[in-house]
Amino acid sequence: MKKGIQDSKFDMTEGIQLISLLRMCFSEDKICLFYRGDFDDMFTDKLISLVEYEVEKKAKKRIAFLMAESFQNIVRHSNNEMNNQTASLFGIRALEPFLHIFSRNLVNIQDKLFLEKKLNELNNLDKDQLKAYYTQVLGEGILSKKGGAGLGLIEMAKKSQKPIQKNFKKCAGENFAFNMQIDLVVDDQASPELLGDPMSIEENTVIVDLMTARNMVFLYKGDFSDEIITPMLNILEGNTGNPGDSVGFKIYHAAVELMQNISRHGSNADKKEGIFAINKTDKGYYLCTGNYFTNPEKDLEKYVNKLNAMSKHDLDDLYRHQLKASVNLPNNNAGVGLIDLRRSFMTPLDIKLGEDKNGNYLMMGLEISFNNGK
Amino acid sequence: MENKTIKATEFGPEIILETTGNITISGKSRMEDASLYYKEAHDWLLNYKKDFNNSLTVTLDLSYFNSSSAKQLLKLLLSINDAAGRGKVIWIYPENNDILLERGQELEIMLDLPFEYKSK
Repeated sequence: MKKGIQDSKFDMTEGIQLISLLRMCFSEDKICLFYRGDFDDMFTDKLISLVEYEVEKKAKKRIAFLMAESFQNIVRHSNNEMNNQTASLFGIRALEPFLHIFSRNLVNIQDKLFLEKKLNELNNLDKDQLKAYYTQVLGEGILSKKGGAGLGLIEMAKKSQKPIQKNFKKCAGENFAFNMQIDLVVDDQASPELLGDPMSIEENTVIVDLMTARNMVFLYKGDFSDEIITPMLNILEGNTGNPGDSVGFKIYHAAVELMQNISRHGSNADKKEGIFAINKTDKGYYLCTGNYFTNPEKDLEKYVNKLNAMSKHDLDDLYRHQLKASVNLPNNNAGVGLIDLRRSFMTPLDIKLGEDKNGNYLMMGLEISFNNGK
Repeated sequence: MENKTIKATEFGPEIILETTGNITISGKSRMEDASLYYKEAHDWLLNYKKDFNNSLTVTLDLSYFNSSSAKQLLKLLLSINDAAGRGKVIWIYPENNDILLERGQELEIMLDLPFEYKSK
């Protein structure tokens, strides 16, 4: 885990404590994304398109391949009966000079033994041996009962310039959480010191355990421009309900407004960076964001508290008044995003302003309950 | 003056502007800078009002719009609104999405234009 986690200056409410912690864990990450939920064929494409915006052209193909294989590995070596919607997890972290691809799924003892043996074998082979082994397995064409010939794992070992990291954690019954991490070098011009040992899988295992325990289903840290948030919203769209109906619409709307709040008020005009996370709660979902900002928006906390104290009727009036007044103003912003979030869900907006070595930090969150608001 | 079509993007709707007086906006509208996206439509409408005296029908068939887009939609409808009796709005919304219906009703309160609601 990264430094400073115990030194948080922020007095967080329960809902945004975790994101406060995780933003420090991921303080050096260029991009970071963790997703727990349903995996379908579209998921990989959406995720790949997210990373494609951020990486060097030459590494894109390899990354796309490795992400797709990791994802297929989750599916192939999962016992569907064991893997409920929240047992499988996929994560990527761009921590220069590496891109780390992390996956977790539940396996039974037979799969554990197979994967352990196979990965140990592959990690002991050099580049030429891997190539020869691949050709041999391909020629023999022996498919396992899971539909693979171990070819995916061999391909991953071939493309990853580092040994594939793995661990197995005992779960209930005879099952194991199979954690796997591929460490892909995306900047081979980096100093030998940086290109040495990649981040240990144990670090990500601890983070993922924490996210799982707190029911976090989605986390993204990185750029929040329109192009980048599109694949993220597509992932959410496919996994949080149909955006055509009111529930799916609510989540989608909150995600858009919160993400765009980051890009509007971020500290760097060119790079709209921040962190966004979704936790499942008893009532629905809790969405939260964090970002640095330049303007000391001293009155923001006061403004949010004022909105939190207002009735739905008054919020609707304020929204209409402000929206109409904004039409003649030259700036793009309508200035009604927070009012709209508050009136749409009628749950309080959580806000915390803070400061650390990098500047002023703003965190916002709100719970989307399926039983109140509109 | 010619018809104009602004093609939909991943985050912007399709906008069809016809000299017959029909304007159709459909899809999702969630771009961060909506003013930039809608600028061409505003300019077209400004010229149209100079050249034509037709009644305008704006069909809004949006599955989503963010707060930045709400401002642009209101701006567009207000510019029709300022020539009384020259326009109407057809608001199309998914049958199971009450929020989008209410968003239409809210715009109606803010304008002096007749709204027709159609679920799909």
